[in-house]
Amino acid sequence: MANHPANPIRNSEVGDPRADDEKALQELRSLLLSTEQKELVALRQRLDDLQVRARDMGAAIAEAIRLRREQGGGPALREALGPSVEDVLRESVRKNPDILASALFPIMGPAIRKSVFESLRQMLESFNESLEKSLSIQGIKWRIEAIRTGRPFAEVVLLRSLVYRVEQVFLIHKKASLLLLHEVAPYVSTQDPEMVSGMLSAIQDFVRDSFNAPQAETLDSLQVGDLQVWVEQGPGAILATVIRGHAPQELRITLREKMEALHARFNQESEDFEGDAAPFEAFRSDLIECLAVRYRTEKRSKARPFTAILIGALIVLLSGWALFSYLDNRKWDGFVADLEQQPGIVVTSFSKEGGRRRISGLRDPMSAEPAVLLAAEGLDAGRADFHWRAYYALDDSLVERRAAAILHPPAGVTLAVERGTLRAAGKCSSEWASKMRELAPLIPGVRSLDESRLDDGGSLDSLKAALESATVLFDVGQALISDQQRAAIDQVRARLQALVTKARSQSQDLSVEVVGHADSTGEEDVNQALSERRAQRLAHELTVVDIPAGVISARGAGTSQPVRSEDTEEGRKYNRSVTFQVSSSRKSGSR
Amino acid sequence: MLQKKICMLGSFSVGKTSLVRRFVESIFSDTYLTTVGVKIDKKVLRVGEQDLTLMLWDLYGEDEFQRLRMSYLRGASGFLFVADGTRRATLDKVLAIKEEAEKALGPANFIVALNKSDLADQWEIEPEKESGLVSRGWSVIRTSAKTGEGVEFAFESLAKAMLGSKSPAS
Repeated sequence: MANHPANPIRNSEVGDPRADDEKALQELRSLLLSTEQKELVALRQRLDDLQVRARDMGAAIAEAIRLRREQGGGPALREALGPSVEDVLRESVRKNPDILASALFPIMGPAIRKSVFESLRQMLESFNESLEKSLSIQGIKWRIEAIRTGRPFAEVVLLRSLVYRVEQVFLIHKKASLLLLHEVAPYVSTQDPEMVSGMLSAIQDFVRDSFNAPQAETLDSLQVGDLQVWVEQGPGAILATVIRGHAPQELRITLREKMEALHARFNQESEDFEGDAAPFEAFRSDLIECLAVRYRTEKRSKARPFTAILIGALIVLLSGWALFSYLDNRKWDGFVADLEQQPGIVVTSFSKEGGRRRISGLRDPMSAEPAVLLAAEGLDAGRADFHWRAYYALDDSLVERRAAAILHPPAGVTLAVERGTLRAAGKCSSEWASKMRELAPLIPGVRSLDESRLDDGGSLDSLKAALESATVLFDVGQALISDQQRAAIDQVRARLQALVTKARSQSQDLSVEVVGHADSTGEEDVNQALSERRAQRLAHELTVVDIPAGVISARGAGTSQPVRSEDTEEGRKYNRSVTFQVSSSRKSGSR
Repeated sequence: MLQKKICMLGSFSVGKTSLVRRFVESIFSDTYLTTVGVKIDKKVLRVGEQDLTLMLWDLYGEDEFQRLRMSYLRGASGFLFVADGTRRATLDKVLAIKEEAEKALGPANFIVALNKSDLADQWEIEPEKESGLVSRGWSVIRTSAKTGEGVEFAFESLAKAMLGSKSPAS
């Protein structure tokens, strides 16, 4: 300043004295304050230039915020910055959600995993518990209770095996009766916690007022059924815990300690409370710790396997018995069905009496032996009671068996029955053959005899005689074959067959004349015609059998060849008939 | 979320309970009023940018059988005084209760609801009396439990008053 040149004075013009004064002042100012003036200009520039100012503030802003917070201006800062930060976040998500998502990913991933893991763990625990319980007698009781009360089984198990469980915790501001924090155990249904908190506070006041309790006295617990509410009082807040079951006194101490910790940490927040519960969020983890739970564990580990084994064995036994009984029943049913298929056995009733089976019905003595069938099925004959009534069955196989039993055919002779016809075949003695001819018609089920394949060694003549001795009777004036005549005709046919066989074996030509007769009553020409029709009808019946053509011829004898004398009615009957006349001759050309 | 406790006060049968019934969430039955002397409901509303939960303490109307339980007033941020517009005496009672409440708790935000506004022909409160109260800076709102008139407005007015009077953070 001292070495500043005095040039301005020299350069000034002489004129207006006021202007001169101004100039002089200006000069003086620049002489005295030139450094400060420059600084002022520079400062103004810093203030006016946005860029410069931004640079300056950038350096200070972080420090300023830190200082502000240290001075206790946290809430004001939050309020000032909060909306902008929220707007920025909202805008960022709107523009590109990926940026925030990537930033949050390292936090959200583990948090979600932890939450999912925790839920799964709880679910598994409750599932295990249910499984274990469902196999005990107690489990069955609880299942019945679940059905009776309509609750899920898992819930009944949970409640019954519970010693105690803290279901809800309320942290309530004491003066304002407003809810600060609320936590609930899993699967517990709740009412609006804010309203409940209010009412809980009101009830405390109500009890104190109603019973004129001193102000310092408080309502410490409520009890409804197996539900209790414990209330821990602090100077600024109360901690209400809703407990199911019987909690130990240690829990009280834990809760009291929590309250003390709360008041140590949040005393100021509690006093400053204006309805904003946010500052108390930091206490939430402590509150969650209050959600304690304890289950019954006594001597389950010992009792369980024994009960399980017992029940398991019982189940195995029962199912084994059921299976055995089912298979046994099926075997018996199969046996009875088989029995019904047997010829000569008719089952009319089948029942189970105790462990035994009672089977009743009709049985042909010739049929299969039921006891033998029983053994073949693998059933115990001792467990069956048979009640049979004997009868003759007309099944061919049984008639055949019966015939064999009665006729005792000699070796070389076979007997077969087909639709009531007994066919004898083979070689036999003439005695046996004649005995057979006698007995066969008496055997139940044998309607005719066919001995055309039987060689009884008898002579052709005896066979001729046998046929010629046969007579087929007719009703008065009748030439038609009636059912009564069938047996006689069958017999004739059998004898004819035997004769034809014999003749064939001896190479004899055979001629059988069927002769019709009529009794002497009535006109002769009518009788003649009747006798012819009788002969033709019967010849026709016989030619049905396998007999060479030309062997049989028919002739009506009218009344000319009476079979018997007509002195009696019996004799007359024999004249309404057909008889046979046989002749044979050695075949021409043979031998 | 900000919470505030509000007490609803007024004589017996001025229609306090029915006034709010359609406008609040409720889990407790009306019998609480006659037994415990209070029933608590909840009303969530938004004032400007602020979500607000009002915990509404509906106090049993004072009558010859029961006195107002002053302990229920503790911690209240506001009062909703209810009078029956068709019975002048109920407004006088409101004034008395207000005085009593302020004596116990100090001044607080409040509004006065003159209920049964739908019964205009039976109206007993003189306009001068009403405007006199308004001129004292009071919020006096005519309401009707029957038509719902003025009820939301009453809640909003009280909520605004409470938020406005909040001491600014230092």
